[in-house]
Amino acid sequence: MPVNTEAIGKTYDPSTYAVGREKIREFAAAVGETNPLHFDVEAARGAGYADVVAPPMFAVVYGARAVGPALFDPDVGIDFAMMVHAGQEFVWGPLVVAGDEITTTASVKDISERGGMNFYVFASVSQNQRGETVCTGTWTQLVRGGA
Amino acid sequence: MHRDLDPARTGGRVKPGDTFELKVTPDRYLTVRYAGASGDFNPIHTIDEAAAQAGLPGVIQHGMRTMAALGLLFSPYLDRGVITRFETRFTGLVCVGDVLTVGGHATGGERTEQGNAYLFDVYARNQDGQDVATGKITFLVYGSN
Repeated sequence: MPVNTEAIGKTYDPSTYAVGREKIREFAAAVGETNPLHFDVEAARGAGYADVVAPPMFAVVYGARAVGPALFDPDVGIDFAMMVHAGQEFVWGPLVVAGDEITTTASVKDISERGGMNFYVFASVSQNQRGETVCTGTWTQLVRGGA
Repeated sequence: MHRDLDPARTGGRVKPGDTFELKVTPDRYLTVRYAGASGDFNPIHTIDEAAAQAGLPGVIQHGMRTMAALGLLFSPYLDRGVITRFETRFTGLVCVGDVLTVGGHATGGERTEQGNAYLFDVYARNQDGQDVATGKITFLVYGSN
């Protein structure tokens, strides 16, 4: 059965994430970051930032809250047991710091079938409280045995 | 290994072909910590039985954690610049006990309004020599042009 592509173009409600200082520290530690700008408020302020700086891949934290509902959308129809993350792209703007509020909008960019596997591509756009785009993401999920 | 990338040593110049490398060794609890920190609780990353049901050899590391490990190559330079673009293809599984080497090489650069943007090809390679992720990173050095 060919993959259902009707959900292409579907956009989901924006989701706002409040960036906390301890969450940045927790995430930075979990991925092995050691730069003091992620942990030490004084070091961050000394470098001209309002608070500790989120590592680039923190985009997963504020972005996933918006992309999650798209992944779980029955209209998209992903078989989670067979899902593998195939690819990821991020483009970053101004750095995210603790205290920021990041609003992310997700959409279904593409659904396709290749080599007996289904590919689901989601797009995300994240903006801070000043309306600056801090990150755009392209999330590609592969579902094995989908076709 | 970061020497070739260090603007202080190179005067902000990175030559195509310059290489660098870093070892990262995931332990048994890393995927649990990353699940909590990231909010990605897909059990294939934390529970062996769930991974087995999905046809996997055991729990596998989150792809995003592998991507973050690639980004660590650039973390020491956060005071001088930032990663502005990062695309990754996940090409293999990362299992508990694997030893990953992340590394890359400079492929070129371009001047932008904000500074010099350096381009890199990066990889995460396991102990068997298989690339589990490959990617392209753009690193912008502030005000360097």
